Amino acid sequence: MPIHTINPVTRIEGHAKITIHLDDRGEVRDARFHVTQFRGFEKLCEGRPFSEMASLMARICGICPVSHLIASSKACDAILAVTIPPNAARLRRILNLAQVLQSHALSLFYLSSPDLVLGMDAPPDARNLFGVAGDSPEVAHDGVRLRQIGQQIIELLGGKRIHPAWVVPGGVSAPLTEAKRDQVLALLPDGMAALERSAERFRGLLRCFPEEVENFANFPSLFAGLTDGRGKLEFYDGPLRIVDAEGAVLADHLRPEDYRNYFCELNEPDSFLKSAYYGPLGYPNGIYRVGPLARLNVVTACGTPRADHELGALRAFAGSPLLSSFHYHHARLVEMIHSIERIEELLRHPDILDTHVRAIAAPNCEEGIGIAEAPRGTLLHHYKVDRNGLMKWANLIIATGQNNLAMNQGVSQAAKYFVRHGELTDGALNRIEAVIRSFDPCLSCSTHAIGAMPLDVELRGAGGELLDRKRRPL
Amino acid sequence: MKLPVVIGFGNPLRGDDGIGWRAAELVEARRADAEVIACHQLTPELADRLGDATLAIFLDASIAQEPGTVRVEPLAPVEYRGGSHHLTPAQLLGLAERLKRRVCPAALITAGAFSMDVSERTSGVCEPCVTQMADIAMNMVKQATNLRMRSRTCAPLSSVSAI
Repeated sequence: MPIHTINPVTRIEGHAKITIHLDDRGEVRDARFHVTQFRGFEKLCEGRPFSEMASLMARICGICPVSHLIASSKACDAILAVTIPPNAARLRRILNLAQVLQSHALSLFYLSSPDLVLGMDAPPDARNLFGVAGDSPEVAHDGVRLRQIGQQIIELLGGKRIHPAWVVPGGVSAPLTEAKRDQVLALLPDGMAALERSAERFRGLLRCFPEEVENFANFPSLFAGLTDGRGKLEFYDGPLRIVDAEGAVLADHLRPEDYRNYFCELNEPDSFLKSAYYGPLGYPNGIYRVGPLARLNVVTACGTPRADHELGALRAFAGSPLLSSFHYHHARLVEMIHSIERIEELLRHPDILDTHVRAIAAPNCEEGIGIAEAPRGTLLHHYKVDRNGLMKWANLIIATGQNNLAMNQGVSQAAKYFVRHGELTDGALNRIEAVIRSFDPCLSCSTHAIGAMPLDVELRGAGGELLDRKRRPL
Repeated sequence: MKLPVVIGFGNPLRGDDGIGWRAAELVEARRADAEVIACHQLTPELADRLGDATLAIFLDASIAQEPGTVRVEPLAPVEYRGGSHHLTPAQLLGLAERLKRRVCPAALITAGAFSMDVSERTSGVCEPCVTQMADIAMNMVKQATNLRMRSRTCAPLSSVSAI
């Protein structure tokens, strides 16, 4: 059967390819998403002091290092058996929200807006940020500004934009000064103005893609995300909730310690990316999604006024719960608005300058689990240490892996609709890639060993002929 | 208030590739009347800063010139369409021009690299270049500041000399 390959998948974070499998009639039988890179952080951290984990794990990614800092530090807090000071939790929240802002800006404006502003069928060499800047400079400018604001907040709090070392086991390493608080506050009005302009633009723009809404990973699934315990949006800490495709709560107040009962993982034979499914429903019925779309499905409201207004507009157009992954784009806008509102709320807390920001202890537990919401979805770090605090074992449940089943189902759905009679047009191929972009995967974050990785080695001659092949199955 | 922007970029863990970064840190330590940025690579977010600047000075290592030499050249924005993973100073200026509809005068100061092996230090051959680059950048910033104070307009690059 003929197989066509999109390699590489463009305008995503990391390295991947998509294969499109045709049947005898030349119609699409299936499509698969293959992650072609491997990181292995679960293995390479073994033997290191647990106190290094936050900084080490932050190096998994250059876009969302703060997410790993937060989840890792929470796992280390559990190893210390401490409750961190309340103001440390506030400061970690602000950093996490700034990360959401800059990461969502990257996804929506840098990676996906070329398709949304210029069209899915625009010439490939125009489909980039520079193309958007030439066609609609105000869109590009707001996107660049929003990413910059998010990164500036991270730099002001954490000392550097990428891989800040500020979040540590027990809290954060230094309190917030009045001057820095005021500098961050001064950035927010500009950011909110950019978001309000963008919301107005994108509300209209996103309604111009009815075929994409219908065919971009549009199917029933479960959705998972943290809440604040009262059904509102939460990124740093809170109980995990799972809802079904009708919006009914399937499970609530799930504890991170019990994650292996509900987050099950399996290796795929054709990708370095693990897949995850909801354990009680088994594989593949337990397919679920995480990230902005899922978070807005598990909550009743964001909990901040402007974000709730925008969420209302999204639900009025798309219904509730949101099933099409095309709506991830609008969901990111809602979360960016919420991030700015929450950052301001936290900065105006009367105790935000409190200098008690770290709990000091030695290891008191030989196991710790930390869970938080990364921009792309729920993230979990699970560590085991020896009595001296040296790492024996780590397991990471990454958001992108939790979306893997849905991404695969999504590219198959899109390929079957947009590839007609085996004809691969540039627009059809771009749309299949755009399904993956809507999930905003972070592939560098998500490929770590749980055992022997699948291996397929081909030996080819100078003329490209296959001379030999060796495969190592799972 | 609009200021000159000095951007030193490169990898400070790869020997002489970090020359631009170190020269920028030296400019900042000398408290130049400029916004100073040391970064690994040029990213689109920098376009926003350039759009508001009175002068842009880029500091970088080069493999296209004799190791241990320092070169200064004026820069003009270029039209570019492509990925933003590896932006040159001229492409970044082009993006700034599109976003802000304004161009500031710009210069690129480069030092010829001797070794880009894994190291946190500049090679002995290139160590003097760090100070030399910082001196040139400081001088350009000073001239731009003086011009601004006299005329209260953007400093045209033709009136700002490297020495």
